[in-house]
Amino acid sequence: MRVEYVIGEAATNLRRNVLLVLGAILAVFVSLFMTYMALVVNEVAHNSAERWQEGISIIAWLDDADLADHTLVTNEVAGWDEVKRAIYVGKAEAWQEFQTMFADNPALVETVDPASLPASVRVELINNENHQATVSRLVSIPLVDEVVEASDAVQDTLEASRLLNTGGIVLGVALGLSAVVMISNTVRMAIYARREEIGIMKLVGASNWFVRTPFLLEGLIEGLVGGGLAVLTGWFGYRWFISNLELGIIDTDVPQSFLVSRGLLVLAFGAFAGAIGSLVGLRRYLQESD
Amino acid sequence: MIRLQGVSKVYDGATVAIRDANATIQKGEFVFLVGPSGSGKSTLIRLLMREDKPTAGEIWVAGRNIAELPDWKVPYLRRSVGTVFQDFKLLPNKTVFQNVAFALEVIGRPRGMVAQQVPKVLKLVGLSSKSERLPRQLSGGEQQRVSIARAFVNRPLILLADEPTGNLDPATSVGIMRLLDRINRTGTTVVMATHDHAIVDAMRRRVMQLERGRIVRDESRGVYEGPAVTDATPTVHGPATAPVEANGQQPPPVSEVSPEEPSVSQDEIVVTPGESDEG
Repeated sequence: MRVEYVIGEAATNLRRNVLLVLGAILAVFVSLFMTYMALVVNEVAHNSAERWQEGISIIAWLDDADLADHTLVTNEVAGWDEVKRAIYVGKAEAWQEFQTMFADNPALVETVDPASLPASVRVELINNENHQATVSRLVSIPLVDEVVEASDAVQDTLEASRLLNTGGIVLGVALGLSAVVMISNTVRMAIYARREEIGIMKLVGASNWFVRTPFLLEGLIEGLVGGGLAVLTGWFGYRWFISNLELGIIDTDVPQSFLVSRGLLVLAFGAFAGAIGSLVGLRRYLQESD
Repeated sequence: MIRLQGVSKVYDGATVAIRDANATIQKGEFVFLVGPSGSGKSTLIRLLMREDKPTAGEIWVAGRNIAELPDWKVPYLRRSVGTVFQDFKLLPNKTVFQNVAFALEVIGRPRGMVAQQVPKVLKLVGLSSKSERLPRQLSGGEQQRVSIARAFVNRPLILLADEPTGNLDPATSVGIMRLLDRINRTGTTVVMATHDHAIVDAMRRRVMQLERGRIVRDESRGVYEGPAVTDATPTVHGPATAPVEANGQQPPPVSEVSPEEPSVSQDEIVVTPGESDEG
């Protein structure tokens, strides 16, 4: 099969239905942009709230002391009525957590002495209403160096990210389906515009794949272009977002490698949507004579 | 080259288009399929190019039973079976040259071969000087020549023609028949469905007459109107047809043509330059 022939035919198909093709690309773009952003926002929220998972709302950093003393403190806190759970995180675990949190920043990890990281007690309350009382009680314990609470912002971020995640994925999938339908329509239109040629190709013995490949390629290009636009817009949009909006509490920095790997994933989604769309459009021609 | 064995074609479970057809066509034969409209001529052509599958029976073309041929192999069958139709089926936006070249390009033939073969076949059909014209700038006869050139440019073993002169006046038709005859002389088997009495009577080639889906007459040098046919039993003349035995069973195949049989080489074509009946 001649490569330039196939590419030329696909290009002609794309040119003939510019509006429909642009519509399909736009649908892919919007769908994948939503998906890409949902992935990034989820990562931002996850990063900024690493320590605040699973209901933990207060962290009491401890002064260095024997494990026995630390255990004593932990047990005391765990015994309080308003406390649902108190978890002791030792120096070694703290070091592990630190390494995980800054895995994308090995330079920072290297500069930190594992021994300098304090142990802590992570507290989950039965009822978050009497937050302040618990904080005061913790501060009064001699071994406790500092008490930090998950601010409302963090809680809100986690909640928002869950919503955005679910909403983004649901919308992304719905729009993705409509993108597939639109791609299959452009392919069908292209087939219709070329029905005479296809008839003659079949008459003179062109192989099935020779007939189909330009149409498959057409859908693939639409999916890839839409996906590529989504990644570019998402990438620069995110850069603009973090440089222009100071959100303070939230660590909005997402590693480059994350953006790249998820970008490639989004491109692959685009290609997949394009291929599925073309196959749906070609379905009638996949079944040869009846 | 072609052998039909108990072939029937029923459309939608009711309309019988072909009824128990049996025939053998040797390599290099020229066969007319005659009969009134609806007698099954076109259905037979469609079966031979595997546009349709028979409801029953075997159709052997170039050593393969095409009734059993898997769909994905149909394109390879089509490369050894050229087809010509009453309505030419040319692409209106392509020139004469491009229309003929298209048939080679879409089966992946190299560009050099296309550049070499297309002028040769255009010379054969007498259209060398009009290769850059569009179909609408040609007469009907010229358009049919382009269509024949496209069907023949890949040197098929068999050329199927369904009413190729159906849209043409008698003088133009004579030119088309000369061309088909010339192609036949290169060794290509030609099967042509037609209504045209004058052509069949003038050519005196093998005639198979169909009536309501049955082959009712098969003469080796026949005319359009055969002796009156009183029943549906085939009147068999000449050696070209497989004899039907008294018990109604088919004899073993007379000869098998190897599927690898090469198509006709260009050297065998006798070209008379510039011959065109449209002037």
